[in-house]
Amino acid sequence: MELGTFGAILKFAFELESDSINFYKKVSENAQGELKNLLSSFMDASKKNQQLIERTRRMNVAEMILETITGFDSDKYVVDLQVSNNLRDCLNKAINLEEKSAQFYMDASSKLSFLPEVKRILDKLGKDREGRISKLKTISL
Amino acid sequence: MVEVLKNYINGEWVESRGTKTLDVVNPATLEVLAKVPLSTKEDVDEAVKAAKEAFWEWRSTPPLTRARYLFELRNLLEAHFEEISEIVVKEHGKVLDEARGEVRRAIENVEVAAGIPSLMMGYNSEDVAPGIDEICIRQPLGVCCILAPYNFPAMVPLWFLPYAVACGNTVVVKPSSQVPLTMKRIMELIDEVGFPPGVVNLVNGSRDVSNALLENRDVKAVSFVGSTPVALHVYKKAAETGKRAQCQGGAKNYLVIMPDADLKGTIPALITSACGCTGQRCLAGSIFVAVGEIYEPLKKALVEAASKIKVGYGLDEGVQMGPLSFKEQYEKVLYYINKGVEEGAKLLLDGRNIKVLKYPNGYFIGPTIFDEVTPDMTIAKEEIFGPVMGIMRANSLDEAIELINKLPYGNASSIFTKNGKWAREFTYRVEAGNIGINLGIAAPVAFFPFSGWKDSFFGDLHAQGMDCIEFFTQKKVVITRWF
Repeated sequence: MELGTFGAILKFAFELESDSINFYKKVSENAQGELKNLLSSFMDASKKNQQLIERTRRMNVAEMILETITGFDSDKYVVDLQVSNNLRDCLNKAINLEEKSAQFYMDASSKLSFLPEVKRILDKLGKDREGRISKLKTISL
Repeated sequence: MVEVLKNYINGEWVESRGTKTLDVVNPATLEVLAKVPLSTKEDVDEAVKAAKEAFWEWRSTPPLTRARYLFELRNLLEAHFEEISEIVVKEHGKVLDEARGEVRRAIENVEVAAGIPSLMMGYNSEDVAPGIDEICIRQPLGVCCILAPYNFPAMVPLWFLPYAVACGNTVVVKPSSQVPLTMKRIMELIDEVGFPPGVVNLVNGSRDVSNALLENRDVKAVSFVGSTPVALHVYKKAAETGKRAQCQGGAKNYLVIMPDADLKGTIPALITSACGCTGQRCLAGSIFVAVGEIYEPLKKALVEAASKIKVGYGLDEGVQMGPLSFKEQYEKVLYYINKGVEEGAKLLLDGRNIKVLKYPNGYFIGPTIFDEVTPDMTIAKEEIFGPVMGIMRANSLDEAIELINKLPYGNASSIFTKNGKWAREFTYRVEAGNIGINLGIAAPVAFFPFSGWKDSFFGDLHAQGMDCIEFFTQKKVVITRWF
């Protein structure tokens, strides 16, 4: 689906965080120890991210430059988040989710670069996601 | 059962004495959202009386305390930001991002007005004569009224209301009868803040309510936004009863595209200017004056971009332009498109027969582009208030400026160029109150006046910022000598 407006991009970001919350909640229920804590921390971080995104959307909507955005499609950031009993499989899906999310935030930041405050926040969210990838890759099952 | 709206008078929601109502209709779905009463002169007089009685206590409330009411209002508006934005979409038709932009602007005005303790300061001089000092203080006027248009149901009332009450005045607001639900919700939040009864009042209705407010001698000032003929009427009526008046009228905004303009940035700005809020704003660009060789590439890029605009219901995902706000406006825009064709303009993109499958009866008109528009054509002279763009050609900046300055309106104009000298020349010579440089919507933020010249504004002091502080206060000079 084409993300043709400021609001549509931020809404997709919000939904990305919702999907992340649901995914990590389910996966963390099957995990234990350090992994469980890590996944739960991702879930909590995504909840905070939602608040940040909502605030960003509310505070930075600039009537003067609500211009149409072109060439930004959400389909390439959609990932399979079906949770199975196989933790390795879930971990791979988590890495995929984080990679796609990081890419989305990077691309969104570029599309909304004319709004510096929004760009800063999207960059931050993208970097956070990259940080998650590193952490997930260090996990051995 | 559809709700019949009430008036808010003296801190209470009360039924209007009027027996007639108008439907408030969602212009995309045609659902009747509410019924708005046509209130009577008695309703108006009751509201003015309440405002007058509340005035003295409110004006003697310290400005810092008055500001605290505004801080609370601001917080409630933030808390209900999405809800208010959605109400705007439902009753007006603009898309959600546009509604959010409007509510953001409304809140900005509350924030600026909350600076009243310093904004309202006067000034003084010692020793204006031997042993004599002189001070100038600002005092509020009394009861002020706000007559709001349909195109910005949240923002325009708050261009004035926060400043009026911050300065110590009391207020009667008449929202547009087409879009009264947004102001109803904001008034509920004002009630929740707990402003003293009578400080802010709302009377629903139509022109009879406006006239009753204008004729009431206890009303000391009127803030109006609407069409030029009505603005002029309000201005005259205000003069008859000795009121201050700030009357924003219509517009016909020409945007000039110079040969060196960056088309990549310019095209989205032009489209947003003309199609944002479905063209229903007094800052909308409606005629694009192409100077020199940019004409052909501009025309091509404009049609290509405009034809991609997704039209639909503003609450639906991905929609970029909503319907016209009501049937009469829809018909008026169709009239102008037909008129353009009739008078010989070349229709490059025709939005008349657009189909929005989910909402087949909505008041939708797609982006429409005319080429070969000449200054004598109706579509070049009159305000359309719809997503209709006209392309004109000019050979030079001088010729473009001449076209603009011949118009009776002077609300806004923009230039798109990389050349600073051209931009300066344009700013210097164009007879309009709001100028954009590489910007399609020259909308002043809350701490600047929303200017407007010629037939686009009648009065002296504009909406927003310090102009509003000046408008809502009168100066008193005190000269002191002590023996």
